[in-house]
Amino acid sequence: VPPDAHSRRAFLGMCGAAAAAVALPGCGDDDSGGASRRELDAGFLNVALRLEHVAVVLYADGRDLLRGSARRTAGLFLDQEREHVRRLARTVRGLGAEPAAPRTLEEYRRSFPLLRRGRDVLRFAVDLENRVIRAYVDGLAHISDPRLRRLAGEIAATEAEQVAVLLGELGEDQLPTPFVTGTTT
Amino acid sequence: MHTSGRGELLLPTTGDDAEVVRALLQLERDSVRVYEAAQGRLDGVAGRLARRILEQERAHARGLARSLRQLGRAPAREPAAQIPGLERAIARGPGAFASFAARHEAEIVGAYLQALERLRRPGLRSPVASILANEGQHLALLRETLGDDPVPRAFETGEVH
Repeated sequence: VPPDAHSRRAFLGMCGAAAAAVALPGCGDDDSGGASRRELDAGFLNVALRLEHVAVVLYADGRDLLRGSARRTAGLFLDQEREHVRRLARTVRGLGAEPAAPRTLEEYRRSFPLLRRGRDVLRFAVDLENRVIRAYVDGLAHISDPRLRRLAGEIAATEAEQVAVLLGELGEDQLPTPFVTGTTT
Repeated sequence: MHTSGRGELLLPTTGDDAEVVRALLQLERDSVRVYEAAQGRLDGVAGRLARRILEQERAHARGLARSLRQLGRAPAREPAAQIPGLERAIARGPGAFASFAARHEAEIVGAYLQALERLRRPGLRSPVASILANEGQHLALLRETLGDDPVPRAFETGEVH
């Protein structure tokens, strides 16, 4: 087993646990009605917020391994992920819920694959961004407040743009699929 | 088309989910026409990118037509109106076309964001979001081709700058 495979499984498991923490009642064809829609909306945004916390740590840690345009890109994306965290936390609070708090740096770092060089950082960033996109794309089916759906859409589009740039830094196809669900890289 | 600064104005202000999907389909067909018009007339990075985006816009149009049929509506083809400024942009070269296409993609992103607000069926929103994300990627790569920052803001709103 490659040394980073275990960590990657641990990381993906952590993300899966975050997603599973949200109940999914009322997944029919029409989401009108329901007593706790605000709670559910807050739950879906918190799933995304947990992943945004991970992205902040990855770009903050990983940019030291990057050079040139990739390093500048990581710095820019770090700022953008921090903006996502701030907006999501404020929005969740506005819904009357507690925003997901970040874990400790050590907890995040333990769950990361081994990042020895810039390419490792870029590859892991693509994986993580796809997890984030998946959280938004899946969550959009269930978020009941139209304004929150717009917010989730705006962030999902930004994350997808980031993936395209990261793939370019890796020298890979920047438009691998016409339907960006976060399940493909 | 291309008369507004925000794509959301390209969607009808009233109507059910089928009307929203029908409007998105029409926008995707416009996109196909934009990139088809550029085929064989642009060299270099912009030409290659246009070819790649064309394939994906066609896939979006097929997917939306399928969704419309599932909603019980026939994806009737509306008469193709002339797209103002397209021919002139292509004639002026790759940079002008990329700039035109970037404005177009920004408007499309705005339209998809409004669609996410409007669609009542949860099952439609995730596929629509997956297309929105891809349109954002088109926009980013067109900006890159123009020498601009590909991801200039943390929240992609589809605003035209």
